Amino acid sequence: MTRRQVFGAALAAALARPALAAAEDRDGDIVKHLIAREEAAAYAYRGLRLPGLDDPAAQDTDHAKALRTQLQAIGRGTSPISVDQLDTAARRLAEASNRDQRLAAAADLEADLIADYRSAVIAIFEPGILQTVATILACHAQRRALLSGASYPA
Amino acid sequence: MVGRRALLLGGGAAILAAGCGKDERVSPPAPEPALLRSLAAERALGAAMATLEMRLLSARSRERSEKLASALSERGRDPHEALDVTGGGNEALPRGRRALEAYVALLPRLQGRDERSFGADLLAQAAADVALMGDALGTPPDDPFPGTPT
Repeated sequence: MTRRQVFGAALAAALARPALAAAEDRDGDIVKHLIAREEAAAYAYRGLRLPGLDDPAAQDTDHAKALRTQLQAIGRGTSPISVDQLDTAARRLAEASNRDQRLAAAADLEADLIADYRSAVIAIFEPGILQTVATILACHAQRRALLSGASYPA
Repeated sequence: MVGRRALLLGGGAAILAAGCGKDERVSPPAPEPALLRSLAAERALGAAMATLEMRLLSARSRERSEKLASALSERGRDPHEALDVTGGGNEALPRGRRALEAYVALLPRLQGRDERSFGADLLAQAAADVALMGDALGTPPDDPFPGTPT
């Protein structure tokens, strides 16, 4: 490699750094918010059996783990949330006292998660994070469809 | 002739100045090839749904195909470039997986709020319909990350 090539590469890296750092900061803030939402959802779903859903608490735990891996990859971290930090939709599900309330609260929670993930997909820059977030959006969209009682009309 | 010290000083100053300058981003690859793959995958899914006589689901799949075809036309590409298949009822579940994979792969190539919204909505709607199809076929989804490339 010539001196000129080394200098060119250093210059290109310096040019790219501010934009990438800003994008990573923004992506990190979004991912932190999504981790909190997944941990809250995992808590709210724990022990619940709902029609059409296999084990949403385990899935949400997997989502939070995958998002934590992405957050660590950009040099950031976040503490697990505590029970008193549940978001409104997760708290409503956690406090539902009968089957109908649980079904309605779960459907509302999924709709709320879809809205957050949709916003995240629009804003995220880093392709690896975007892929993880997109697949989790797809998962919540599937759950919402199954919970809504919209069984296939033949 | 420029000495090594002058070159280093000049280089350092240039890098410092560049770091203070306007943010630049490298553009992602053009989205048309990924749009064509998504259209082909959606058409294959829709054909399988139609073969299984899932009329509502196949109608919604057709709507997604039409949106993709319009997006391609607006970009000056011919939607007929995308493969169009028929039948495939026994291939419905793998076709559903492939459609979700195509949408996930499409997203990083879409830039700006409107394009990303378009891709996110296609993915969410297709995922919901693939779940309903799987449930109707006795195979409800259990993947926490549907659309992950295989």
